[in-house]
Amino acid sequence: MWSVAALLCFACEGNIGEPGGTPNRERPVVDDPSAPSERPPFPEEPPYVPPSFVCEEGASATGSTARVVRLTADEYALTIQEAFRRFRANPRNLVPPSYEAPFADRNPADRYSTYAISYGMADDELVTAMDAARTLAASFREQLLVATGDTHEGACEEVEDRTACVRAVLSRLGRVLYRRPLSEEELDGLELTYAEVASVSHATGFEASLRRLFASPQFLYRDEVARGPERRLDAHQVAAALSYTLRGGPPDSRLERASEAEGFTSEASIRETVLQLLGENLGQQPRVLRFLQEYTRLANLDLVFKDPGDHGWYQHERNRSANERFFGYVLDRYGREGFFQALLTDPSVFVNRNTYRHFFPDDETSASEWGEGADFVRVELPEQRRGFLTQPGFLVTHSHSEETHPVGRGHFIASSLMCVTIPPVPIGVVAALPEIPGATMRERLSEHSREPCAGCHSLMDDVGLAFEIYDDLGRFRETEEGRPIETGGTLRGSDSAVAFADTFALIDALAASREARECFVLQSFEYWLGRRPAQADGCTLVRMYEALHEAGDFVEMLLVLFSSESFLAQQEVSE
Amino acid sequence: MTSRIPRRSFLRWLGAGAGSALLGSVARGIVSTAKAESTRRKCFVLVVVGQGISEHGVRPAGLGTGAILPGTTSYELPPMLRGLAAHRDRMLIVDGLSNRMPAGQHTGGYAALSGFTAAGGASNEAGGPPGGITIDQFIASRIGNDTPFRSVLAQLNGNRRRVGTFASGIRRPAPSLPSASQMWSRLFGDALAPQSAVSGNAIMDGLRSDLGRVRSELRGYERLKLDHYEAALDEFSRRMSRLGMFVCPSVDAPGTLDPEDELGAMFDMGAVALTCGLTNVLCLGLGLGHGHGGNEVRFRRLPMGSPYEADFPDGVSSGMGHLGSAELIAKHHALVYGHVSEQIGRLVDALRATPVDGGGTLFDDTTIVWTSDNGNHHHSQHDLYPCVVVGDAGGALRADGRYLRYDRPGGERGPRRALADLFTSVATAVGAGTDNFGEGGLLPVEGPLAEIMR
Repeated sequence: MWSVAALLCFACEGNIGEPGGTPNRERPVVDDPSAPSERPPFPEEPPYVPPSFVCEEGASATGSTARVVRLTADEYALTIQEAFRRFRANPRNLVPPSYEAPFADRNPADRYSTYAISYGMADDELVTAMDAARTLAASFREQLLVATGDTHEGACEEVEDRTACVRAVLSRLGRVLYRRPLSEEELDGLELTYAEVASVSHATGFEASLRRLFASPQFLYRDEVARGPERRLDAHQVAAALSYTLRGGPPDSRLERASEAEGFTSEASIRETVLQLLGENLGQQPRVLRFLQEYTRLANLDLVFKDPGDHGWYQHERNRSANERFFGYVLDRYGREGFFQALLTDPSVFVNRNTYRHFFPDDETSASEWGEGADFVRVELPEQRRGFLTQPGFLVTHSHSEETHPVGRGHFIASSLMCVTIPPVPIGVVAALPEIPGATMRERLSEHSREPCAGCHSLMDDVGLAFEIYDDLGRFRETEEGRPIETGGTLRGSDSAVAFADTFALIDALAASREARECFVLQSFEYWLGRRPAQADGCTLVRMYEALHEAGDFVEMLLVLFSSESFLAQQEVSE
Repeated sequence: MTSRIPRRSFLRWLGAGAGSALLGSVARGIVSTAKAESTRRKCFVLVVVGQGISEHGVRPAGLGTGAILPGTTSYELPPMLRGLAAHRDRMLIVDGLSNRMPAGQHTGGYAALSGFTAAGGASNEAGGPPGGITIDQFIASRIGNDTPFRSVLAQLNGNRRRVGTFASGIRRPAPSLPSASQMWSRLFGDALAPQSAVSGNAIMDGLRSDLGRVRSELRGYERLKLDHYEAALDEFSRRMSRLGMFVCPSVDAPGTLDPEDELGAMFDMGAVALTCGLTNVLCLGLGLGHGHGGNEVRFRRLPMGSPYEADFPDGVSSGMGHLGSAELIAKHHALVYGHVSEQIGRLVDALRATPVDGGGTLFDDTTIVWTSDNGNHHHSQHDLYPCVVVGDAGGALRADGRYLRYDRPGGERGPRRALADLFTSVATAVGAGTDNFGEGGLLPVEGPLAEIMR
C-alpha cells in the first residue's frame, strides 16, 4: 500500500520542471474567418537562467524589451488624481469623480506586483476604461465650469477663442496623463476630435476630446521605450519611470520641471532625484516597504486561514503591523549600513498588548505592560528571534491553517533566499503529509529522504524544519509531541552545502552565504525594474552587490540600480 | 419594443423565491422582442461556485459506489437541487469527472475551466496566468460573434475583486463584472449606449489614430501589447455597432442589495441579456478564487427560518470552507447551493417563456452547466468535479433526468475521465464543435461523453 507521503515523493520524479507535461500551447480560438480578429498570444518565455555576477569589460547593460507597461490600478488612480489636481475650480483643485477602475491591482501569480510583462489588455478592461473616460471627462468639464479667474474659465465657454482654450486644457491635462509634453501632431488630433463634435455642441466636443485623452494608449500604457541610436530613455521617460517605480504615480510638477530643465543627463541628477523620492524616512517609504512585503510574501498572509474559534487573540492585521514595524526599523537604522545582515539577524521584535502572545505565550498577566493598538514596543529577544525569518508575520505566512509548513518555509528559503529553482509539484501527486499520531514533523517528512523525493526536498526540508521551533502562529517552542525539537541540517545551494547545528546557525550561514547575498540582489533588481535580470545586466548586478554587501548600503544599491544602463537604456528589439 | 420595469417592482422581483409573477411580465416583454428575431440561436450558460461542490451535497443517497452508467433516473433529488425540481426531466447530474492539477488547493483558478495548468509553471491557486482558453470563451468565440456581447461574465465575491476564472487564451484573462450594479451598468446602463454618431465616431477614429502613432514606433513584444489594445478597441466598436440592432426591456439599476438578492439580480439580468439577444453566452460566478482572501460571500438571510438556522446562526458563507462533517457540508449545500439552484430554475423559467421562430422556446436551444472552480473539496486535489447540466441544446444532449457516475477505469489509482470531456460534449452540443478541448492539458481527453450525447 502506498502511503500519501510516498505519493508525494513523485513530485521530483522524471520530468522536473514540466508539471504534468503540460505544454501550455496556444489553442486555436477562432476558425471562422468572418469572426472578429483574435488578439495574438503572448509568446511563452524561454526557461529563465539567472545571470552570473560577472562584469565583462566593455559590456553594457541593454535593459529589457518589456518597456511598454500597462498601468496598474494604483498607477491609473494616482495618475487621474494628479491630472485633476493640476486644475483649479475655485476655491480648490479639481477632484476625480468615483469611477470603476479598469484594471486589477496586480496579477496575483506574479512574484512582484511590478512585474509588468504580464499585463495585457482584455476586451472588458478597455470597455471599462472607456466607461471611466466618459465619467472622468464629464466630471472634469463640469468642475471646470465653475472655475473663475482661470484661463480656462467656464470650461472654455466664456472665452473668445474656444478652440484655443480647449487645446490649452488638453495640453495641460495631457502633460500629466502622457507623462510628457504632447506633440503638436497629437494636439492637432485632439483638436480635430473637438472640432468634429463641436458641431453638436461645444460641451459635447470638449468632452469627446477629453474622453479620447482618458482612453488613449499613450495614457493607459507607460511608454519607456528607448528611441534613437543610443537606445536610452529620454528625460521625460526617466522622470516617469522613477516616479512610478518609487512613488507609484506620475511625476509631480517639480519632477516635470527637473526633467525639462536638466534632462537627467548626469548620474548626479538621477541620484538626487532618487534620494528625494525615497524621502528621509526610509522605513516609511511605501514602495520600499512594499518590496519587503512582497519579497517575504507577507502580502499573502491573509490567505492563511486561522480559525478565530481556536485563537481568539490572533489577528492577521496585528501580526502584519508588527512585521512591518520590524521592516521599518531595519530600514531606518540599517538602511545605509549593514542592511542585509540586520534584515536576517537583528533580534528585535515589536510587541504590544495584542501581539505579546507570540513571544510570551504562557504569560497571561503581561498584557497591560505593552502598548495599545498600533503602539509597539521594540524588544530584543536574542534567545528567541533573529531577523525576518523569525518574525511571526513571516512564520504564519509560511504555515498551514492548523500546523506548521516546513516544506513551505524551506521552499521560500531555497527559492527566494538562495534563488534555487524548485519545480512545481507534478500533477497526480497528493500534496499532503501523512497523519501519524505522536509523530513529529521531522518524522512525518522523513520519507522525503528517499529517492526520487530527495532531489527537491533536500533543498527544502532541512532548512524548513530548522524553523520548527516556531509553531504555526509563530510562537517560540522547544518541544514537539513532548520531545525536544531537532533543528540541525544542511543548507544546500546550487553548488554548495553547509552543515548547520541549529536555527540561528542556519540564519548566520544564510547571512554569510554568497548565494543568498547574490539572490537578494537579483530579487531587488526584479522588483524595482519589474523584470528579471539578464546576463547583459551583469555589471549592474556586480555594482549592486558591492553597494549592498561590501558597503552594506541598501540605499546606495538603489542609487546604483537607477543610475545604471539596465534602467536607463534598452536593447534593440527584434521582430 | 420596450417594457420598462418600475424600480420597486424590479427589486421585489429580485427577492429569493419571490416575485415570479413579475418575472412573467419581464418575460412577456422579452417575448415580443424575441419574436422579432428571425434566426434560431443556441445559448450556453455557465454557473461556477467557489470552493467546490461536495459529493456530500450533490450525490443522491443510496446509490453506492462505483460507476453508474449510462445512469439512473431512480433517485431522490438532493436538497441542493430543489430549485431544479420542475426541470428535472431536462437535467443531468454528472459525477466522477476529474481535472487533477498541481497547486490548486483552494481554487483551480483558470485551470478549472480550461483543463490547462497555469502558464509558466505558476500556481493555479495563486491565480497563475491562464494556460489556455476556458470553455466559456471557447464556446463564445464560436457562437457569440453575432451578439453585442460575445459573452457576459459576472461574479459575486465578498471583496468585490475580479477573481481570475475565465480566459480567452494563454495569458489572456477575461475579466468579469464584480457586482450586480456593474453588470447592470455594462448591460443596461449608458456605458455602451448608442452615442451621437458624430461623437462616437470621432473618438474611435481618434483612438485608432493614437494607436497607429504609438504602435508604428514599436516592434516585437512591445508592439504585441498594443495589438491587444487594438483587438479590444475592435471589440468595443463591434459592441457599439450591434447594440442598436437589439431592443431589450429597460431595467432599472439594482441599487444596494443583500447578497441573496444581488445574486438573484445577476441571474435576472443574465436572463434578460439572453432572452433579448444581447449575448448567447452567460457566465455567473459566486465566491470564486482562494477561499481565504475575502472572496467568500456571506449570506445572512439564507439560514433564517430554515431547518439549519441553528447550524449557521451568523449566516452562511458561499463556500463550504472548513466545515468538518459530511452532514454539515450537506446542510451548507442545501442552503447556499439550494439558493443557487433556485436562481437557475428561475432562469430556466424565463428561457422557457421565450418562444423562438420555428417553434419551441429559447430553453430548447440552451444548455446550462453548473460546476465549481475547485472540484469537490475546500482543500481539493481536483480529482472530482460534480457537475449539473440543464437543457439539451436542441436535442443534442441526452438531458433526461439521469444521475451518471464515471469511475476510474484503471483501478483505485487510475485516472478518471476528464472534465474537459464534459466541456467538449457541451461545446459540441451548442454548436461550438470540438472533439479535443483541453487536449495536451491536465489529463488525457477522449472527446464527448457518449453517455450524454445523442
